[in-house]
Amino acid sequence: MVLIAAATYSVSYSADQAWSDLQQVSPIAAVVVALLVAMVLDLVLPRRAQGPVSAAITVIGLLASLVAALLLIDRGHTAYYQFAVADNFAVFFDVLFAVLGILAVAVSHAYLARRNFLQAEFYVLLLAATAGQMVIAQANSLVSIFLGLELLSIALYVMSGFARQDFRSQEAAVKYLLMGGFASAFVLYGMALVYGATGTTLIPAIAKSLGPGSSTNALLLLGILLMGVGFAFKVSAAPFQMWTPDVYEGAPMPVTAFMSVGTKAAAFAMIVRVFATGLPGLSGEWAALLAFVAAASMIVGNLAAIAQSSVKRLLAYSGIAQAGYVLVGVIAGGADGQASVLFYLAAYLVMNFGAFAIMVVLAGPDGDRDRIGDLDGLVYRNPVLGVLMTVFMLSLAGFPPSVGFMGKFFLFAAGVHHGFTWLVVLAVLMSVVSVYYYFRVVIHIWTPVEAAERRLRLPAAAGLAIVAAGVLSVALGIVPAALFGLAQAGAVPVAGLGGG
Amino acid sequence: MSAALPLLILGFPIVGAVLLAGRGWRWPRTLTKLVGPGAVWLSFLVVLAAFYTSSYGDFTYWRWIKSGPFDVPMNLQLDHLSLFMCLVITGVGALITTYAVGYMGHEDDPSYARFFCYMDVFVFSMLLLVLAGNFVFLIVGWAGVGLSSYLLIGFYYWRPSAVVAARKAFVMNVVGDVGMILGTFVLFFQVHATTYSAVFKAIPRQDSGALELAAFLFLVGAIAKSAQIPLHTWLPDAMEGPTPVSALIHAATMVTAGVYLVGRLHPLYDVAIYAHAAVALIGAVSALVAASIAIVQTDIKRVLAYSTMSQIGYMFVAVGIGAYSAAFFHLLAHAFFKALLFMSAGNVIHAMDDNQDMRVYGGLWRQLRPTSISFLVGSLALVGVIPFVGFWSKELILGSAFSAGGNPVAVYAWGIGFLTALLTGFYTGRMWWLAFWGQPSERRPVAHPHEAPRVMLVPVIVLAVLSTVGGFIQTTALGLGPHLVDDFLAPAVGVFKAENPFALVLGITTMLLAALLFLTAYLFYVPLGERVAGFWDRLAEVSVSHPRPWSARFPRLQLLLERKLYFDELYDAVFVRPLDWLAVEGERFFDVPVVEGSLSGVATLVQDSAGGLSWVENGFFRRYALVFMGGAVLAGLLLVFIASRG
Amino acid sequence: MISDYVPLLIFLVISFLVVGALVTASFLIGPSKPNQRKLQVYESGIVPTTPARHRLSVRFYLTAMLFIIFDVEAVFFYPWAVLLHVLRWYGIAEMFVFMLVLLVALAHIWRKGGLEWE
Repeated sequence: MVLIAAATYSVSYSADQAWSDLQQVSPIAAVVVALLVAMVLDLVLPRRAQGPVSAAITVIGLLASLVAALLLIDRGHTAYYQFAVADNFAVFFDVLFAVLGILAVAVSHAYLARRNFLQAEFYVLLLAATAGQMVIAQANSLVSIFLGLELLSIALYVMSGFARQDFRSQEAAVKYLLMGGFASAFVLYGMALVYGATGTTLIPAIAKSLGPGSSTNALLLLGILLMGVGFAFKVSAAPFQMWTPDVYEGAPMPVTAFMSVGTKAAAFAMIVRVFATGLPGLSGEWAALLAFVAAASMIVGNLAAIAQSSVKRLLAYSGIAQAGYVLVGVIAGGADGQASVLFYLAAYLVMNFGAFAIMVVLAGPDGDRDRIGDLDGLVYRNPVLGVLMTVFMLSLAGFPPSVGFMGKFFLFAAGVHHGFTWLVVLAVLMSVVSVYYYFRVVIHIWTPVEAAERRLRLPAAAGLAIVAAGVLSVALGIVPAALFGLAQAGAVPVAGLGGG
Repeated sequence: MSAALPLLILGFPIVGAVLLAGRGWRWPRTLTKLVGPGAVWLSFLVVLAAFYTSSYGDFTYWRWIKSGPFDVPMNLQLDHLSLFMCLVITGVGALITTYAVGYMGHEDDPSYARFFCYMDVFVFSMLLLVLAGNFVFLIVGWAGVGLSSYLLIGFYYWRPSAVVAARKAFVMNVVGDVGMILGTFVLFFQVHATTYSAVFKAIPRQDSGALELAAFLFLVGAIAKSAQIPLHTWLPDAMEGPTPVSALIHAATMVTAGVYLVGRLHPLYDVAIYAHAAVALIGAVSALVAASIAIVQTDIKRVLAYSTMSQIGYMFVAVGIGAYSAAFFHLLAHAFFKALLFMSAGNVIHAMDDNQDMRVYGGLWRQLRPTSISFLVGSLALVGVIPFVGFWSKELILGSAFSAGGNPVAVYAWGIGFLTALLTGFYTGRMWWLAFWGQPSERRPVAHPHEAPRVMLVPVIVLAVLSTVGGFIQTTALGLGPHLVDDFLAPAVGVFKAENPFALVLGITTMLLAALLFLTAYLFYVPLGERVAGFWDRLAEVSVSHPRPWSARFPRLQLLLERKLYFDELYDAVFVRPLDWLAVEGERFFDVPVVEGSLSGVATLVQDSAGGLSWVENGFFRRYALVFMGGAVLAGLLLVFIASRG
Repeated sequence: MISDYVPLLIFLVISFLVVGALVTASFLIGPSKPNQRKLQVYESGIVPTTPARHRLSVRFYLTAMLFIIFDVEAVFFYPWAVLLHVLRWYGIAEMFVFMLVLLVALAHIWRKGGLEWE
């Protein structure tokens, strides 16, 4: 069978073609090379040098990836028989993931040493997860999307259980693995059904194969349902969000910080790519499905966050709610909807990662300090951290002139523009609820504490990352045009292929 | 180059505020003294530079939001009007913050830095308010001054009365903010633009009903910020703040924002004639009511507060009849003499151990000579005695109102304004004679008060000089001489043409009557035995030795005024109590069973804390998987529903 | 579209019915004479000495997983071999890269003690 296919299918693959294809995926390649180098050096270097060297290699690899991605702006096309693509949409996410990785290294370095974790392995896994995210971003086929999804997920399962002495971390890893496997099965089954219905896994080809009868095609609808459920799980949207608080709470803080942004962004890349680009003719169906998920997420996330006493869980529920907001932009569709999604994910990167990064700094040698009371008087213990945490909370709550406000503004404007006013009204109401729990954090930060309380030392690399995130949180709110221009550029190819 | 000037004007105060907020409480006090007022002084220098180089323009720096027709550029408009306001804000602001260096000297370091931080935030917000080139940033500045006013009124946050006053001011101001925001919405829906230039260009083509609505909504904002009837009750209570705050925010600048707003939106108000007439009427009524209440107040700062409200009423009359440059001339004059009065009063309060009841002062003339002279200058300017600045500006407004032919409102406004001028003479006289004349009261907290330090005296004297000679820049009130303010503001707000053959007669008559009432107060409020022998005594003996207090004859009237016309009680009965009732009942019948019920229901449902038994988030994988499946089934049903319907 | 699957459904129903009928029939028809010895637990003719649900060493799973990982990766060679004449030198190079990655992984496992039983 295979032999026959090979004989009849005339394939020619020149070296030029190979080189050009490799260029298109050069951001991923840079990360993978860094991963291999880090792995090998881990074996040959003395134990003491492993941490710094691995960190350096990781950062170099991610920087190379960042540069490679920037070079691809407006120059990308499909590669590997349309298996991968480097359009501006993909490049936007590549850049986002590279930046996320660099920030994660900066924040984790001191943490790993303090908690006496294996360092080289951590960075290797971080690179693997980043590679997975980038594969998702650049995927142009259901198969490559699934490949990236698994690469990302498996790395994250291990990272969640990285605190090997900590029972909660182990529990988080197992739960995440089981639930993640569950969701992956849904996604894969859905992809298989879509393949069955359309006869192709290439996303542009799927879009072309849709016809007037598609909306009654049971296979397609079931495929949308199953994929939608799996994607909703990955963005931690209700009612598929149960894993989020447990895993966020159990996983070591830098891992939580990394995955809270990384999985969400990757999953949104997946949703936009598959649904908006691949199934534009069925936008009514998947938009309805996502609207249900978005509404549930905003309600469940915001209400449940009120009752939390752990900052990790609070931010987990806040992340569920934020996923609901971003879904509004996805549902709205069109160039402005997609641009608003990209903008918000970048905004989410700076503000949410910043908030988690501060929690990373707070962690002690024995474990994470994530009770909300652990933030008491932060502004007096370290004014920079206190003020920045306040900035991040206000930004997450959507106060002007922060980037969170601009992000929400663009999302909701797109929602209203495309006729999803009811969803936007719900989102705004729920944003009002969210102010309550974000302010609870702020109040704790500004609560005076005993003078005897130790001042908090801030590791240089982590401090730099946090300050950068804080400055961006405000600056991008005041001058959003720079980022929004990039987001619009990123949205065009997707929308141009027939966005919902 | 000129595009950088507005940014610099705004930049210095905000940088000062950030510095003070960041490190202020650990700094040596000297640094705070330098940074706090220094930021305002630098800003003032930039304003002067802009003034001398005539760097006018509408500068767009970047596009803040662009979403469909909703386009908000970050633009600052430096025209004659905003530059005029900037001169007042930074000039008077610099003097007052310098004064505060001495006045706030008793505070500990953190509070000291906090004070200047708030002041710089205020100056920044106020400058943003006047420099904004579009409605969105106007609202940002508008809300910013409300916030800094709230923070400064509640500066002594350990005093319950200060906290209550701050909250009251904030609530009243938010009422105004809502009016502003709704007004902006109405205009945006009408013309799909947010910048002044675009909106004003489109106004002639618009339906006048919507314009009236927008103008009335903006008027709500203006009267809340400028403490005009019926949203004025916060201003007297705002005197809980430190005196420099009262001088800068609640006399010279922030409370005049309403006047600025009407002046800035004059293309709108020129079309929306009903709203425009309402501006004049509200101003006139506020002027009269406030002046009458001021007669019976005993707290020196409260008298000044009501007098501020009354004077802003004049400005409202002026903008309401279209005499914009007269209004802004009075705004300038008022900034001089009211800041002067507040700061002199601050010196007195400082000397009197923070006692503000002027019935217990008495006899300060002999002990605090420089302060007394300054206060007298301010008082005469307030009464409107020639040649002080208040005379020229107030008479210009009254003259304009009197002679605005064809405007029926203007005549009534003039009548009320005339009456108010007389009352102003009386209450100012009462304040002056009670506090500074006669023998020291037996209840006085300090027998031998000390004059204020130099850092507090110099700004006062500067303002005293300005209040004395400042009026000569525009003497059109007597139909003569220079008219610099008119000329300067003409490009921004146009020229008000009103022929007034009686200007001279009217002006002099009003002044003489007001001055007479100022002197009459002497007979009422300085006891017979304490009068200085001399001309006034002989005059008094001729007329009436010591009249029975008027209040004894009209006890009901006095009570009415002392209770400030029962505005607080009215609001209490109409808004506070029903809302309280609604809140209590709502809590009992709606909040607790429905909202809290559902909240705590959902919370217990989803919460995990302390191993709480919850159905969904119970930590067990099997339950998670079940919910996952349940969600998938629900989503599937939804999809089937959609598919079957379509 | 759905109707294409009707034969499959019929097949499923029939198989369920047949199996169900056979089991039920043997339960109904077959003789049932239990006694002490017949009911005793046994395993391969021997009386069990330990409970059936005993724990296996985690190393067993680790080794099994490692074997499966490399085993599955090896499957990748077959389609490659089929297309080698098309891919030519590029294919050779690609496969060496692939094997290099596998080797790094193997070396990593080896070096970190993943292959040691104790």
